[in-house]
Amino acid sequence: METKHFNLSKDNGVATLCFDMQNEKVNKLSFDVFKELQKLLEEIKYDRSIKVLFITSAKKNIFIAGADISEIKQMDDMDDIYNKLVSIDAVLNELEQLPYPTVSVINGACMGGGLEFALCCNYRIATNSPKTKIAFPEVKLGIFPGFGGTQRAPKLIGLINSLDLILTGKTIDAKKAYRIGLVDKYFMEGHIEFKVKEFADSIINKTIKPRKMPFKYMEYFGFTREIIFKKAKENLVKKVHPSFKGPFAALELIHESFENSLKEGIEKEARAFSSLAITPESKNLIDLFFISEEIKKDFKNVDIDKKINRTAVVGNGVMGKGIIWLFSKYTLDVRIKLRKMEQVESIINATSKLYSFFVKTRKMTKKQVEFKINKLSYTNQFNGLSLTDFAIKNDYKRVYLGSQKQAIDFYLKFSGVPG
Amino acid sequence: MKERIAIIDGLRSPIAKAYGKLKDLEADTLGAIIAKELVLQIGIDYKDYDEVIIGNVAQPPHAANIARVLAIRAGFPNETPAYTVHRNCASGMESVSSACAKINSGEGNLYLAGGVESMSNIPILFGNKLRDLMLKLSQQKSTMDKLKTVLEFRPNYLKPVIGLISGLTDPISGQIMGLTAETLANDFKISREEQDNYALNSHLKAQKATEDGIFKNETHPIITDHIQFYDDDGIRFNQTFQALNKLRPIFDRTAGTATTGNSSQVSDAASILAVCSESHAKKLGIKPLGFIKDFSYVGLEAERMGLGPVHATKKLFDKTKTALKDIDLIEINEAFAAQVIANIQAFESKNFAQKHFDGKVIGEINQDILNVNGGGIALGHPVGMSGNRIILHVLKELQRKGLQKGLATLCVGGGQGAAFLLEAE
Repeated sequence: METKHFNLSKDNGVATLCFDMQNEKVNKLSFDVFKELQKLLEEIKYDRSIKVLFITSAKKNIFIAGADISEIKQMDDMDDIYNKLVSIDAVLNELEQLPYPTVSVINGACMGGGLEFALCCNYRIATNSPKTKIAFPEVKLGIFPGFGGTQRAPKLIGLINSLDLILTGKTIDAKKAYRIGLVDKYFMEGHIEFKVKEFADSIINKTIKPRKMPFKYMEYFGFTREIIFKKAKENLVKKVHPSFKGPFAALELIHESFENSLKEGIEKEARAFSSLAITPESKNLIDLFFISEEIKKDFKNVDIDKKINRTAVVGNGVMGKGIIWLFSKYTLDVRIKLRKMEQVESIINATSKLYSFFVKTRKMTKKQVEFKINKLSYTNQFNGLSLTDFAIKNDYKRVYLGSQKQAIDFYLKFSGVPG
Repeated sequence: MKERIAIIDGLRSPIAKAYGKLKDLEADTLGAIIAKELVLQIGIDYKDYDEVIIGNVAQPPHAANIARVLAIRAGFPNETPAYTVHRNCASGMESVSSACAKINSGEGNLYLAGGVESMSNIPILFGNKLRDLMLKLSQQKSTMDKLKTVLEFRPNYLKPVIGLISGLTDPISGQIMGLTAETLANDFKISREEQDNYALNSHLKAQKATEDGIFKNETHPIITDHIQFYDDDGIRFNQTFQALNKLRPIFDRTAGTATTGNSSQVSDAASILAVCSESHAKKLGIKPLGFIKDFSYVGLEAERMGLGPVHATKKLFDKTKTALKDIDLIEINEAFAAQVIANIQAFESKNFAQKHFDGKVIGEINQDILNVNGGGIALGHPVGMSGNRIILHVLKELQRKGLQKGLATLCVGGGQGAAFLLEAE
């Protein structure tokens, strides 16, 4: 069969379906992709030579980035969306029902629809590369997982874990995914070749053991489950503005469909999703997403001919702290020149407070922050500036910029009051 | 030595009493602040330094090879190697002499050599019994065995080993440093009053120097998100003889003479020097702070380690054909008042010379040029840092007073001595 987005290869009973979306840098789940997948599945469903099917990605640092959002954005008819979802769910159901074991090999971002896709496989294995990020980010677009994610996730990793992912949209790494049972194995990126082979062997030889996850008492009994839902709702009300309907709707849906069969649940999900996706809130959030993506692209296009390494900030104030923080994050050195040494403590304190967000969200470790703070040096004189290649003096009226070793002359010229 | 070594400049932190102002700052971070400031003030790019060498005694467990951690924290690139040296109290000197040796053997041109110590952060340890128990526990498989092992626990397993005290106890003689000072007080018949008077002077000189802002030439304040520390805080202003004389001896409670007042203080601080060969300094067009003419290390009996300075100085003077009268300034690190006084006596003692130096007396030390701004008794003695500090201080004082030659010497626990001959021009 002619394929555009997938490459199928077979080797001794091990089939590999490599996702390589045509004319795109990343893999996305578009209607076209699903159409091709459907045909492919039809063809390989009855292939008795296949003992195990691996699904991999040919894109660097991406497994599947998610559904094609531009397609969702264009749709504004509820029934249309519903029908499309039903057809997609049917394809994913086919994948889930394949007669041989299936394995998603997650090396890179596995987001939203990508994760829902992976959930349809029997196994998920992942690399612990920092690029491997797993999330349900849909709530950030005013929607929620619509390809069965709200149904399959609770059945696999339990209610609490899936609410934690679906309602917050937070990103987890392979290690965390392993801990909650979302992936069956993780390993180093460099070992991917032989680890995949090892995994294939263990499936073919039937030596693979199902993972034992601790029994979830709280989720087993109806009345304790109600407590979980209540708590989740309370947390949402506390943290999320009610006009962001996505997480609220997701919670309601999961609550209502928890005891349903997968088929009923997916049906309910499609209904709830289609009514949410047409709201202006969601459309605007999607717009916002595209705008921020554009900005990121623009940024990458800027050519920096000379990298700024050593910086200096003269003066302080509200803005000073932010600039010092920014410099400390991205350059090698920040020299702070203040009028009085006594001002230094509060500046360093404010700078480290700006970092605490990164520690809380686990984007940085405490150690990394320490090393960033170590970049600060302080003085109350115009000394130690000869290595500086970019300097900024700020008072609340003007911001002066200087660069390339002219820092000192520059200060003396503009600052007026030495010391 | 083949060629004089130039000390481009140096900088130190103020010295804090242990468990005080700098107790939350580990030695690597403390040293990094000073190293960074020194590099920036000198203005030679980080990548031009061949290596970072740091002396440190306590060797904090969280930062194996503390020099490397310090260097990276200070902003040195990954390409700059770094290693840590340990010669007990002379560690801060050992880093400098290691750099000298490397420069003279042509291995590199420019080195950062320092001494750092955070005595506040020397850990308190558990004994081997607890270690064995924990090890056994981790090896048990079944819950029953684990329980049985837990029951073997005895409360005395929790008896801590104070790292600071073991560190200050000589592993060779088994004596804590203070007792070696008592030995010297006995040998040289040094009274309690003499020691207290010496200590009093140390405080008064340090107080005057602080008031005159002399230390400002060599210190950089330590400021972090919750610390502001500007001046040495070990100096007791307006100290009196009576106050010192009231203190009880601590090492030998009944017959002893060494007290907390006439011994050096336990402290936290960092001191760093940038060193290169004289010719390299010329090439860079820098006028250095001063020069190292030569240095020497000696070994002696551990029980009398306090006499390290006299032995090391003798060796250094013989090597460089220097006479005591040529020296304009002397720093003998003050570990204990009794120990400094013993050295002063040994320098001029015929008996001592007869016994050790074939009858050649080194000479009488002019006390007006000795430890002119106080020493470890008043300022504190952060063990790995002091050696570096006295080199820095002698050079700064030579420069300030327009003098030429200085001697920096100290005694080393375990029975060693170190001496550096320094020159201003």
